[in-house]
Amino acid sequence: MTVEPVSPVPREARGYQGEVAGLVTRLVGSSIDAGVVALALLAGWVGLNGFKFLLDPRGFQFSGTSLLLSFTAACAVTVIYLTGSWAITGRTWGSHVMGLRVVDRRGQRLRPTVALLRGLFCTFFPIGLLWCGVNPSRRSVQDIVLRTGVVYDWVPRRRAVSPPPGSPTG
Amino acid sequence: MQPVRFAADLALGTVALVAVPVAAVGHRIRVLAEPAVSLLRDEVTRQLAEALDVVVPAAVEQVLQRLDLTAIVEQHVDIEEIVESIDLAAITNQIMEEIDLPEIIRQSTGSVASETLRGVRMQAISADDAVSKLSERFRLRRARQVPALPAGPAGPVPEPL
Repeated sequence: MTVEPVSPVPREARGYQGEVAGLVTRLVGSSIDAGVVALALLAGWVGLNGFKFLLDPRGFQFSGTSLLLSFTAACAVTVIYLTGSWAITGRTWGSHVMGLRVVDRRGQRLRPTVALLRGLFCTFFPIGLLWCGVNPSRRSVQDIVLRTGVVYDWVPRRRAVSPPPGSPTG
Repeated sequence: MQPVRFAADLALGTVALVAVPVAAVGHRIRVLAEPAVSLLRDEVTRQLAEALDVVVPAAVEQVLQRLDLTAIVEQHVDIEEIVESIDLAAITNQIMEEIDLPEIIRQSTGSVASETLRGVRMQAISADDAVSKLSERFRLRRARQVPALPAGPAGPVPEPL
């Protein structure tokens, strides 16, 4: 006898599960991710300077505040964070908070190479996200180019997700 | 002894003369009648089954109405012994495994329990829908404003040289 799995998703949100997410949810999730990256950078900077202070307390001076270094570090952390999150769990912290998941055209988790490409694309061309606001199938530039999709998925653990509507299957 | 023997042979011969044709005719009749008998037997069986289908449930129902089965079971069956023989813990574990109860509790309390988070998510979904509708309306308006292009090449026709 097969027991019907009990869904932990609230009744009002069940109809949206697996649907392609829209602009507002994705923007909120991305903003949270930006905050996470900023916190990571700040923690790294504080940690680095703290380590330097421990090594040489008397000659200590704050370092690592140049614009180029900060930009490079921010880009690197963002790419690593996005790639790792999408390749390992399929969602960043912002996506987790907003109940989103990034999937490929089959509804599966992204392969590491695709996750890396998407991470680079999102880091250096973040404005491409706005295209999902005007695209009929709610797909950003990154989604169209890399054949990925962002769907509502409130279930924390990985499960089989149907391919996002409007995504190419070939 | 001769007349007696003769009489006995005569009697046996007479019996044989009568019995053999009678047996042959009887066998022939039985062979010819076999299909009809089989059909008759099937029909009788079917009608009997139909009658039993009607009668037996009604009879059993009447019997059960006149019996207190619960009292009979309580009186004659040792329920405690039966319950003790059942491994309730194993059954409970099996059920919990089937429905994955720990996972449900983790999922319920881990991410979706927060009413605030649920509200934020639902409002974001509503905003997504609103943006999509606005975008759709804008696209339809633009499609109406752009006149349909006439069939044929799109650009000016080059002058012949």
